[in-house]
Amino acid sequence: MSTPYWRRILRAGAPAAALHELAASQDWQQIADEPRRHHHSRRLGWKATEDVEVHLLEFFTHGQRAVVLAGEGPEGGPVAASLEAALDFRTLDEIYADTTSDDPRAALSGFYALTELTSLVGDDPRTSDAYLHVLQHKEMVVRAAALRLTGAYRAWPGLKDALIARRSLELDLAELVDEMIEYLEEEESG
Amino acid sequence: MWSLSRGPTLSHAVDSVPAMSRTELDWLEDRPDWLRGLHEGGALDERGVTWLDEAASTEATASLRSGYAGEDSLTRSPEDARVRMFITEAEGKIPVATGPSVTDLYGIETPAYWLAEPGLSGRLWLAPSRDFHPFAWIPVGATEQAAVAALEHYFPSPDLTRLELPRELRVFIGYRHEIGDMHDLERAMTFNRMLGFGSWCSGHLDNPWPETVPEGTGMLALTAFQHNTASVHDPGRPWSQTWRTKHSGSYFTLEVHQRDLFVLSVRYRPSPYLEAMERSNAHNETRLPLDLPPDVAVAMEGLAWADVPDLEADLAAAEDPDEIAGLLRVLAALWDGDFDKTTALRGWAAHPSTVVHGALWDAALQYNLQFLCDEMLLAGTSEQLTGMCTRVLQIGGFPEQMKHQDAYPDQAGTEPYEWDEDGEDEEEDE
Repeated sequence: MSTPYWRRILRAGAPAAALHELAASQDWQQIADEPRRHHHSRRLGWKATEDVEVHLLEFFTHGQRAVVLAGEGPEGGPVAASLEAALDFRTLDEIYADTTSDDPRAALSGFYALTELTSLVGDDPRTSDAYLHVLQHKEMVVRAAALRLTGAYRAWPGLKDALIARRSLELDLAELVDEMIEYLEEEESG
Repeated sequence: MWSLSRGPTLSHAVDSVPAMSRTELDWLEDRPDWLRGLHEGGALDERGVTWLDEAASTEATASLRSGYAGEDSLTRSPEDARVRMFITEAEGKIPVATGPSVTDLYGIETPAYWLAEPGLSGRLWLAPSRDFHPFAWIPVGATEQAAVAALEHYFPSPDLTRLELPRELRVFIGYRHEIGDMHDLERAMTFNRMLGFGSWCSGHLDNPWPETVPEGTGMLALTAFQHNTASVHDPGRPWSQTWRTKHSGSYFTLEVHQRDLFVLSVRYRPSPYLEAMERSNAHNETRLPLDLPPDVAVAMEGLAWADVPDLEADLAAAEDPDEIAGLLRVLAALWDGDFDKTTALRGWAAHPSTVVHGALWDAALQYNLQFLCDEMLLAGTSEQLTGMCTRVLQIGGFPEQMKHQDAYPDQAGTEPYEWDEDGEDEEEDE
């Protein structure tokens, strides 16, 4: 799985003001200011160069902020470097470590961040390992998050079997497990 | 009385100036040098300004007073107190010119008034229309450059988009049981002379109305456009109704939150005329941002509001759980769209009171804040809320029907109305 976009997640509590300041200092033209919708992020966008756009996405539902850059490829370039220097991003290693934590708050924070990056890290074996950890977490609220966001991980071939394995173990979330298996089967059948 | 329809438009004035004889200001015997310079320079004439003779100046004063005090109003009685305030504010300021005009949706023109304040610290003032409150009149200085800058800032009225309105003011204006429903507020706004005709709902981020409606457009077509296009509501956003302010082109939006709270949101382009807002704030005993366009302050007359800094200070000092819960409900509405403040709601999940948890639950439900629901479960809130949050998890998140309700469910259309170029009414089938 690949993506043409460079994408990072801001650390919790890290202000986005530095991005606004960078945009102002570099004279980037603002091209988008869309308020959030019930299930969709707020989006602010700037044109950094003729070919490069920078977008700040604020996912209120899960309390995550992402910066997405179109035009420099997933590895980034000069604009990505300026963003790395100005903003406090979570590293991928940190996100995997949080997601596989036993602490439910860390696991949720890591998992919600990882979910925003699945288009970038879907091929990384750590992603399916992390999903499995969340799916089997001791806290129901964490397991529920894994089930609710099944769709984002559907590229993983082992996903359906992992859900089927949870069928006999989940009591409070049994209904949701069945719903997600049904969803995957509908996706398989097209 | 000045007829609103007689004010010259900018393009008309530019074309016609060479053929016009200019009115002299000889009647203003002690006119200062800077006013002589402005009059003789001709830069304002070229941009649609018409100089007044003495009789017209007297008439203009009466018109401005009437615009503020309501002496010729069809909707309210004249008020002695307002007449007295006008006299105090307008003292020493003499109308010397009018124009250009702003043009509304129906093509009706509203001319500006220019007033000279002679004396040592004298200067020129701009009243963008006769309905502009005198304590919000704009002091523009005493140079041609400053007068032209003010004129070009306001005329023609800027048709700005959301992207060009980078600042936002959000204030809480009351509860439904206190100030009435959205229909009541809409009726009040219809008579607000700082707001343009034609409003739009949350289905549009920008003004869907044309600059002026096609000539000959009938009321049926206007109503069809209002209902079928402008009133389309986006259930993913708070229900809202927006008007464009006539002079600064700001977006003046009333939002309904949690089915009970009214928020006023104003998107605006920073105004360079800070002194006008200083005077307005001093007169009204408010503390609106100084870069707020003065026409917004005039449009807010009659509303009582609480602003975010005040409410946040109240929340920081509050100890009573009922008070904390009430403030959290209102602030959640005011913080809607502010990522940092909304995510900080998480910190309240550890509060011991169930009434506070109830306010958080309402915010989570209304604004689809799954992270807050998660936190309430992890913090081990009340048994009842734990059950409700668990149910949310079991069904895979907050359901669609918890989106924002339409205040006019029977009116908003689903099929867009498009203007017919011939001005005929026509609804387009999808």
